[in-house]
Amino acid sequence: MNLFVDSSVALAACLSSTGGSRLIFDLARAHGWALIVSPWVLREVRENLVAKPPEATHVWLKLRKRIIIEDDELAFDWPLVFSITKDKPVLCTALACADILLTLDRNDFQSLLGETVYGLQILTPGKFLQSQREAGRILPQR
Amino acid sequence: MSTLIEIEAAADGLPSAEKEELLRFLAIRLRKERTEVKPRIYSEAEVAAMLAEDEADGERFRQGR
Repeated sequence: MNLFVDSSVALAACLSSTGGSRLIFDLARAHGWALIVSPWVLREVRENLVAKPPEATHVWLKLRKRIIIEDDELAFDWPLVFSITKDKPVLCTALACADILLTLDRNDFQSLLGETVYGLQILTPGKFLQSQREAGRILPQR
Repeated sequence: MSTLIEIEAAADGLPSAEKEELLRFLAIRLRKERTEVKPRIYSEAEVAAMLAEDEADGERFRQGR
């Protein structure tokens, strides 16, 4: 399963070791989840980490090793009913390479959270984990 | 020349062809500014809200819910 990781989720994973975002990174390999970002997301993470404690950057350097980087897609062939320009690169790239877009950005993705756009589900990490558990796809934790 | 009034006065003095050129220049700049995609920089309040939700979700998951 291909999961596109929005910068909000990557940032949360850097800043908290107990949140759902970090769990996604920790559980990904064992559960066959491919974690994907794009250069655009990497840029957003980098720019947001500037104002955070240096430890967060150290964590990000470790988490980065677990992700796949796909090229940015800045356009999509089908019409997008999506008014917020600044998130289009994230949505377009996720549409091109992922099954699920994980985000915590309720400001810009509010109308799309929990929805499916051209087959791409848009979920928070918590909702994704819950859906996997309900589907019996979470392996017992050691 | 730095204020809008000074620039408008100078533009008034231009011949029509150059006024049109100036108009095209401004239209292109304005379109670019309005469509340029900028990275999201989350405010402290946004980060705090995202972390609160994320940590609550993490806790819920650990409790098996």
